[in-house]
Amino acid sequence: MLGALAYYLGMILLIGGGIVDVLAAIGMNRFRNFYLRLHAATVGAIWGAVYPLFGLGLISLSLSALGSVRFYIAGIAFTTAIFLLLTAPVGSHAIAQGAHRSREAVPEPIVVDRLAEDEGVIGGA
Amino acid sequence: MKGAARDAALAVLALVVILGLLVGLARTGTLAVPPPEGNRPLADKFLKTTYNWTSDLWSASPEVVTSILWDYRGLDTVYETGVFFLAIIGAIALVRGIKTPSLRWRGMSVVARTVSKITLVAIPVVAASIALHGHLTPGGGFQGGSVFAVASLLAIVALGTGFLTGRGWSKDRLLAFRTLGLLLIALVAVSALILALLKGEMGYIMQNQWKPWARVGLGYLFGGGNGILYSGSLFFLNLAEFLAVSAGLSLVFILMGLPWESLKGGASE
Repeated sequence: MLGALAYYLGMILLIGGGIVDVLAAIGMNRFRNFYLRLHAATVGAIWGAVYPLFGLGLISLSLSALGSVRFYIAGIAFTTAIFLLLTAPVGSHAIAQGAHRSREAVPEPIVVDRLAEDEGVIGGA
Repeated sequence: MKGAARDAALAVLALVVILGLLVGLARTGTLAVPPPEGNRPLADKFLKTTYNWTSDLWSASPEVVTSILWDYRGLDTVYETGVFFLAIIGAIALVRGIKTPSLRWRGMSVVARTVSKITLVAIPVVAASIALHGHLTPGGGFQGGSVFAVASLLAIVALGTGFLTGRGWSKDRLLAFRTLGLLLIALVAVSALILALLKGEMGYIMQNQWKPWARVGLGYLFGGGNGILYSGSLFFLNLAEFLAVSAGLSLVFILMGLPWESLKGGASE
């Protein structure tokens, strides 16, 4: 019962991750400026790598035919997923901040720009 | 409309190329060069002697690559380490006389700093595991040291140039660790020979295991019987190389992190 649940949950994460990753790839091509494309890239990193890895771990845990190997696979998959979950958004954050600070890209559809306010304060002080 | 026509033409071209490649692959097997049926004689020799205790040439390690690097062609790797040492000496000679810069890169935002601090704990653990298991699994001293240096690079980029130097990672100290690693390698390289000379036997430089005609060896089990396999000199050489490469590459990254302003003035002793 629990094994079947893990299997189907893992499959949903794996297939859902694949679908959203394709959507993110389309977004990389279609979005019109740097920050929007960065959003698509981060969606791809999380849905295309983190969720499928969690799914892979769950699937391998549910496959008792793999013997004790399934715990190694699941452990490596979960560890990698957690580290990607930690580092991928920070990478995007650093890239976005670098682009903003160097004024290479204009944040175009924008409601409020707190970062520019911060930088303005630092520049003025 | 013109753009759409070009896109269509490119799509057709890509499809034709992909189909052509697929047909080519299917017709020739996986690659144009036929994959060999068996092992080449040299590979066969290595594979059949590394962990075969009935062989006189065994190196007591199940990891064939490490056995080749540190035992079968160990002297070559020692010279490679020496070349790497000279390269770092060259990098230090380039920036000699440059003071620790007053202008410092203060690191990234709070978000990046926080996650970097979490990751900074994990990277040396992975590095040590790669280096200390070098005689059992793929990896070794150089690989582990390179991974360790990634942690230094991350600290410099994300936490600022003051982070490492503020914790005593000075140029001289890192160079001292690097030299210590090289000295340890040299010591392990001649240890079997010194043992042999003390016993009045035949021995070799970089000798690892006992041989019928050179009856000295560095052992391979820690604790005897069902002890821990350390594969003679391989473990110590990996450890020393790990130390040397970690310190050396960290030093180079610290030098590369020097701000441009501190280099413009030129060297002044």
